[in-house]
Amino acid sequence: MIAAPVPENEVERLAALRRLLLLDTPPEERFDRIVGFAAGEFDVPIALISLVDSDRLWLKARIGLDVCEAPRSTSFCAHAIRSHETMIVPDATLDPRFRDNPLVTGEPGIRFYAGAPLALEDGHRLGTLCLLDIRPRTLDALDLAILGTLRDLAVGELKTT
Amino acid sequence: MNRSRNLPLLLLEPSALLRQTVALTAISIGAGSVWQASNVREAQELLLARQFAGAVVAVDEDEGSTDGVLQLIEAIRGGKLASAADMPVYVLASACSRALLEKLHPLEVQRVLIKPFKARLLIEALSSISS
Repeated sequence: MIAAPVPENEVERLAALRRLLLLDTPPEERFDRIVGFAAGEFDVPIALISLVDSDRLWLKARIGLDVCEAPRSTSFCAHAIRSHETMIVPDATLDPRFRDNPLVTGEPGIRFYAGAPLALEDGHRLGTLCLLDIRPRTLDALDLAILGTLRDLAVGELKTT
Repeated sequence: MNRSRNLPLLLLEPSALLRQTVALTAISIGAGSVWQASNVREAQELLLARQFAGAVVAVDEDEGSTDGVLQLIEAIRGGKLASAADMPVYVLASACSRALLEKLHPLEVQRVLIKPFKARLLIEALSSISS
């Protein structure tokens, strides 16, 4: 497993994350409906709005997972926030970054991941809107455009917090 | 026909998230401009005010919106609104009953799409109208 490198602007990124005052807040319908829509649209068992905190991944909205946080060290989203592009992992068992990740080798047995980074106007990428599946798969151009739109709507909600 | 290519499309759909996802994605992929209406009244106001290349309109027999939507399509076909009377109209339906089909048939609806409505399906439908 290859842990995600820490972003160069990590101190400022975490400060921007904390300014949202979203961490450890209760679920909200405005975010829940986006992940619910995404899960249905892409027919995936798991869809999340994640925020990458200093040492954990905290889930503001989730479909298909019972936990609300996970170690940052094993998270796919920590990798996804390294780029402004949507990160696609068609089959995690074939990806050296993730093939021995406990989320891949154990429960829930992740094979597919797609994470669209949640970027603020100042460029800080705080987390992702992500899709996970236990089957290998990929997304075509239209899928990516739809996921990007849902991500933009999620970012819009972050800004109104 | 070429004239209609530059016209926007109309999407009448109660779900704000579905509407927004379709409209914003259509713009992002260059599939054209999609104007949004959440109910029949909003759709009628838009159709009175300007021309559209085509429309995708949702009917929900459970919600009792069918009559209003059918009247709207009748108004389009009767040339009572700003758009061409023969513009393409697709219908989104929660279920496709025989009764609904019998009502839609004389209105020359081009396609009936059945739930669940996915953004992808609607974008492809709107793209087929604009192309």
